[in-house]
Amino acid sequence: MGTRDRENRAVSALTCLAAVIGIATLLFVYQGYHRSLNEQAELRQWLTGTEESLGVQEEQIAALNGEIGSYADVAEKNRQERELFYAKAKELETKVLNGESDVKIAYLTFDDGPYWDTTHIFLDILDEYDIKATFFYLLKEDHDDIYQRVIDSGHTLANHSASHNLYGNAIYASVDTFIGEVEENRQFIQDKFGYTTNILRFPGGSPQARDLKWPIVERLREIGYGYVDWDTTTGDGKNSGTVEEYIHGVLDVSADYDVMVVLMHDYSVNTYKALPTIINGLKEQGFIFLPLFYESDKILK
Amino acid sequence: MTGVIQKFLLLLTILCLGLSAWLFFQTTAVVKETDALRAQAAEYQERYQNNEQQLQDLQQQLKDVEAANAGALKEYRIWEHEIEKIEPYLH
Repeated sequence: MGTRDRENRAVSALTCLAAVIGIATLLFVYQGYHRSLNEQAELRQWLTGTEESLGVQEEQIAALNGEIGSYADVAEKNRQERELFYAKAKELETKVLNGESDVKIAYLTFDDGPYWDTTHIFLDILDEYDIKATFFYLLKEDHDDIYQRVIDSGHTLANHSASHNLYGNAIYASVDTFIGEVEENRQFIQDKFGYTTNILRFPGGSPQARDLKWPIVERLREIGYGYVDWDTTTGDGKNSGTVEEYIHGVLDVSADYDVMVVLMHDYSVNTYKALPTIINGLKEQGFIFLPLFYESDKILK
Repeated sequence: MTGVIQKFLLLLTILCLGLSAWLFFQTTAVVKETDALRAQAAEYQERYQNNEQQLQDLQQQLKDVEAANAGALKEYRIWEHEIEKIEPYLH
């Protein structure tokens, strides 16, 4: 073998080795490239999925924030809705009084409560008929549940003095004595239930205050109160009448009124027995029922 | 081995090495991009966990707010209902 042949073989071996190394390098680098591409594709897929999940999450967060935000002014919305109702009730009352409506209005009112044994029965009946009424209450400790139920049900809670002490007409001893009672009861209801009263019924009715009536009315006006007496009553004040008498006490005179305040007492068993018949009878005569409100024509200021 | 084959092998080697170099640079670019995507993934992961936590907090907050305003809401519905009742008589 000549030198040229040996050189030729060596060159051949080297070129073969170089080619093998070249191919191996290419395969190795390609593998790395391929792996990187796969990894990137998986990552992109994960990112797309996660992006969708994030979008859903962020929509849910925005919805929850909106829902929570809607509660921020619920007390204000509540006040506005109540004011709107009173405004509409006033509009309706004016129409009725002007003879522009076929409907009549009855304000059912209950004095002297709350009472543990009977008031809930009255409230149940009013709930059953979907009627809001007005409760003229005294200051009675340990009756919180009843005050609260009256308020929560949307009835009007009104002031009937703290003690209703008519023995010797003591509550009308002076203007200050009487106004002191009104303020005491107002404060009690305000502090305990956060409810502001602005309607009063004089214990025994306003004539019971005799000569003090007008000075008291003046003072009531100064403290933001109006008062109301009544147009008709079951006559249950002495708690001695029959169910029939109570029914007739209201239904026999109600036809004379377009807007009428009915006086009852929520201590009277015969009154709650008569109440469904009274309600049905008034409905048949075209009455609807509203709770009293300060702006009503029936509230004297 | 003939000179032709030697030349072919030499060309093949050069081609493979050239391709390898090109692929290497491509891989480097892909790796760089992947690193950027990985950083984004870490950010998404953190955002996802934060959102999950925020959702739980808000759900609890909503329950608390609902409970605290249950009375006011009930009263609001009462007025809404009372308005509906008298509305027909106003027209």
